[in-house]
Amino acid sequence: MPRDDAVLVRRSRAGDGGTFGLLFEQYKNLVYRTAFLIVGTAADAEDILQEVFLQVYRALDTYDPARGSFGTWIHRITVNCCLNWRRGRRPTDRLEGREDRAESLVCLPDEGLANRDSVHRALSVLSHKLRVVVVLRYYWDFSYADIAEMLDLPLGTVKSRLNLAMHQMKDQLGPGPQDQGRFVVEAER
Amino acid sequence: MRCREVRKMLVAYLDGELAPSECAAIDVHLARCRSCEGDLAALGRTRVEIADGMRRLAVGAVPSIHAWSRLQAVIMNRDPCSAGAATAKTVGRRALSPRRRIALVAAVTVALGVGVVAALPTARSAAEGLLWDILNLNRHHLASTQAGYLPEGFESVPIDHLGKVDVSSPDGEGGSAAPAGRSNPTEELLYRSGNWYLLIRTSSDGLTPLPEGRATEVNGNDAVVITGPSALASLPEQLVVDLEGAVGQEGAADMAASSSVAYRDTRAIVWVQSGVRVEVVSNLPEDEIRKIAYGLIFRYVEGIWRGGAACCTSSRDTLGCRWTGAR
Repeated sequence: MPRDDAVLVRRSRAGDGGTFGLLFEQYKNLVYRTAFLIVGTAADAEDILQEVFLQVYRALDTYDPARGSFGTWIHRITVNCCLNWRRGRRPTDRLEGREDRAESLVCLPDEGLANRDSVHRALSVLSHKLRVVVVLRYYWDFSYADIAEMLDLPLGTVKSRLNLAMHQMKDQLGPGPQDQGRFVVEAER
Repeated sequence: MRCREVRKMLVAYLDGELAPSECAAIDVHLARCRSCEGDLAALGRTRVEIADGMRRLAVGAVPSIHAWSRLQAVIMNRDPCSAGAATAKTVGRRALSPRRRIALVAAVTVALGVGVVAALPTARSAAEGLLWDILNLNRHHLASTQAGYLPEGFESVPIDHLGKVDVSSPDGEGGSAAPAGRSNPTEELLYRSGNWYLLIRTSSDGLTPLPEGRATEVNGNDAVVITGPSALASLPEQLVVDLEGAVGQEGAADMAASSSVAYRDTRAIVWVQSGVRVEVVSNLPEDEIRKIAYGLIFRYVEGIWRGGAACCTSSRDTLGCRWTGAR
């Protein structure tokens, strides 16, 4: 655990509420972005942010640095919140549009709009369980073992979920230019 | 190894998450299977595209500026302790300890900015938490705290009748209307009841607190100088409220030698509240001054909770409070 986190957690545990605000500042983007990529809407990500930090605040005394970094701990809470969030709700199939995100001050650069849309589509075909592993692996660069521990899953399940997710997204994104060229060549044979 | 088996492992292969023996087996298969080789290439591109796409999506994804204040409200509303319950309850989860609750109340109120609309019980609870934590107010005090408390019989006196109430500049040039760089540094309210007086001073510039009251030096100590007047004969011409604890008269005999009750018993309670420095200076008994100060803070905090107004400007703001004068 980074030294700063250790200090902040210790002081928060000791009753220094101000340091909890610092923890919030330090980890709010991590939580929000994870939630946003998984649940797909700024509004839900905002709500999950609240829920995660409420849980963190209540459970701060149970956090054990020996079992992992504070960042990993808060990631675990976040993905669990995201998964629970969707239970009993109708899944949102698409990541929301840009106009909606403006409500929470999300401002995306104009460049790469087409790519974002295709990524939206690719992510939207995934179930939330699959999105979770994709976000943890390809956005946060967690190892399979870390993801397995975080989600309390067998390593094989993480592998199979990532494999399934990537194949689904590959199909959604369609063949790239090189693939198209190769298929043409193969068809001519 | 068959294509079906290989394709189940291609993503892990790309991610470097396979055992060396598995990698070797897949290498052998890929060397002779163009279909699986093509699948691997497509997955590789998907992997890069998705990772890049998520990074681009996330770069602009930031929480609302109200996220922190919302969290405060959620904590205040959900936690049974925050409703002023005498005993902590657990509702399927760990209850907050009183100390943590109070500390959070204080911190969320003061540290990062407040924009909360809540019901009165929550407002009262929040204000009480803050008072308890910052001012070491006990339950007896809490019970007797009234927002905007003013002792009976006190009437407002136009400040002009008293004369100027100045904070001298650090270089000792007292008597100026305002410290350098401030156009309107203070607002003052004076109340009187017989020989009792009460002066409430606040900075009008919410962004920049007045200097910590250490504006001049008297007998080797920093002091706030209250320059006064002649208009009210019962009040001394000049009071010096020494922020280190002594009370003196500038350039004259010390207070112990004075026959004036006002001199001897003048006390001040000084705090900084969201960038606003507030002083309560009075010759009233200590308990009364406390109640006045608590009442001011209470009204302030309650107003925030009720009105939802943002009140804090930066995390540097603190609500520190200390007594000055004889205790």
